Amino acid sequence: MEPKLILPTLVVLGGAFFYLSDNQSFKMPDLGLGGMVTDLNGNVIGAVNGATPVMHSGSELLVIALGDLVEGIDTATISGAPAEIKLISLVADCAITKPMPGQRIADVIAEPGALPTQIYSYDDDEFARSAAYALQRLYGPGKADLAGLKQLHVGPMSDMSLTSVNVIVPPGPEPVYLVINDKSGGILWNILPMPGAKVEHVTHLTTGNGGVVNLPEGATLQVPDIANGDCGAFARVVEDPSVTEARGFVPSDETRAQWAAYDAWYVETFGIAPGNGLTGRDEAYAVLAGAAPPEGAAKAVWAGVTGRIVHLMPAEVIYAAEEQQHEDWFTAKATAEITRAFGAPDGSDVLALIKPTTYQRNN
Amino acid sequence: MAGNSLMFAMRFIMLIPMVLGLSYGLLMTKFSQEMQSGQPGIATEIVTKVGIAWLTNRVEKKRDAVVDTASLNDARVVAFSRHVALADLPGATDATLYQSRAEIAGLAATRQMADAECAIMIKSLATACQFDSARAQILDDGMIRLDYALSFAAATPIGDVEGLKDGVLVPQIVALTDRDGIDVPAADLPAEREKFYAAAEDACAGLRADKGNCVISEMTFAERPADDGSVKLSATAEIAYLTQAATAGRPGDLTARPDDVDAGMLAFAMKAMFEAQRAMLSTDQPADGAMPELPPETKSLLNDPKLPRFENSQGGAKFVSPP
Repeated sequence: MEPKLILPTLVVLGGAFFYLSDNQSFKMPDLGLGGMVTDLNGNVIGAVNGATPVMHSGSELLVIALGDLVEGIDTATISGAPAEIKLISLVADCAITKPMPGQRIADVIAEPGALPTQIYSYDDDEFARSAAYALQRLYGPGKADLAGLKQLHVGPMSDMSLTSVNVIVPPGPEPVYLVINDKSGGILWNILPMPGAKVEHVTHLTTGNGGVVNLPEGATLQVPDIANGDCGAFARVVEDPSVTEARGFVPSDETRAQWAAYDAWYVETFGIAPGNGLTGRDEAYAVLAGAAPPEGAAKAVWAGVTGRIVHLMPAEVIYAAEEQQHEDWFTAKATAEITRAFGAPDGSDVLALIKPTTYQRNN
Repeated sequence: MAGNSLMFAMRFIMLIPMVLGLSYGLLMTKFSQEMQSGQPGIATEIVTKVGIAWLTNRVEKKRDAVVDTASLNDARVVAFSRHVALADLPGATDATLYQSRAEIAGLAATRQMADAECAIMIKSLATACQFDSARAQILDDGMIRLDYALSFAAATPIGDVEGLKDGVLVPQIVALTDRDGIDVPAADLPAEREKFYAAAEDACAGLRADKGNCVISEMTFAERPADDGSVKLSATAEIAYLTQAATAGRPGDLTARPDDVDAGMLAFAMKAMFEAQRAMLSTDQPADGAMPELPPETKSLLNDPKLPRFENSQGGAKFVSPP
């Protein structure tokens, strides 16, 4: 393009942008609550991820709305206050209960869901990282007036509340052994059995924070410490070697070994291969832990977080009704990291510690 | 109606950064074309003038801060670079588990080190001293690198600066140790630094006697653990004097403000770049593919003994004025 044409072209494009930006063009379509995706035979092949159905195969799609399986849906209860937060004790030495004969194994996989809770969960490292970042900035070159500092801001580096993913368990004659797989943590799994479904056991595999709400009565919950390699195989923190190869790269031997070791442990423990579970990807609302129920089946009764018991991975956790409450809590935790490093007790005036002292001759 | 007006105003405001971005893009496109053709034009003039104005302003601000010897500011500092074993870092709880905790502990340690050093500095070099800045960086070998700086008010008056309010600050680097540093037992480091403070004062006194004024603008200390348990210490001082712009000794034809080393270098670089490009594009290039002969004007610029020279020292590389 001739340089002299650049300006008029951009002006025309800018004008078009100006004309069209009437606050309507940028609105995303309202997709409602989404649901699960099955083929025409009722076999679930994925979950709706907001805008795009995620498929496991090229079958024809049948979208089941969440409301077809669950009654009394009230998403406001997802952000409500729980009756109690219990921290999970990780199973030592990976001694988790294996599926029993007669149990139906249902494994589901999800990335963080679409509905945020107001439960926050952080490792100690999150507070330290925020505190270190804030202090490096304050002390770094080009800093603001350190002596005149009035408030220390130490917000979370990756601030997000846990997000909920609903697991609807369809009815069936066999009791269910449920395996829930996080891809990156941060999920609060909301288990909603339909009438006629009996969940006996839940194994939660995760490398991050998160947990389970509405654990069915009588069901056991176990979480092995796979993040630390407690099961003799590290969790899948590496990319699938076949995916790496498909991208044109050669996976390392270590990656292949880790992947194979995890596969072997998974098959040996659950009797099924990993990675083939029903998937809720990228802000999913729900996954169905089994085949689609017959039409007219009794619906599951909705339950959210409000007034329920929440089981969470060991971490620093809080339910914060207001964002300010969360910020204050986080700031206090992060500030304590700094005061401790300065050798001062928790609750000390952090500004007094970090501000410079002026030394004068003859003082 | 009010809502429509507000939306119109907001959309109009949204256009402002777009127009500014477009203008910048056009300027750079034109500048790029001028560079490729070897023919400086309006874009080159704008870029050069803006660059010079920015550099000049920056240098003048630094000059004013350096010669304001009674104040505490980041233009006059004593800077330290220390390598410390993570295991020796006080308060580095769970440092191996959480690097962030080691960083915080490192920064807290720099405050303690700075406070201890200030107590030494106000005995000789300074009338006042204050922690200025710090950075902690975890290294691969179980060490943490701590860089920190203290600002100070100079104890010795600068000297005669009458009539030099708009003068040029001419820095000189004084190597207090050789490049590799000297081995010092850890316990003797404070006493050793006191000697270097005195040495810097002596060097500045000599310059003051010669030029009428002098200020210590920066001192640097770099410490690394040595094999025998002692510390390898290297030190430099930067001392500077104020002088009239006209006698600063830079080539007078480079810039409207020849008292500014950085601005002068920018103008020179621009000019040399265009001269070289013109030579590259000229029809009488060497047939063997060798670099073409530079025009006489460019060669004389490059060989000008009054040109600021590039100097590499312990304190970092910088342009310094000719003696």
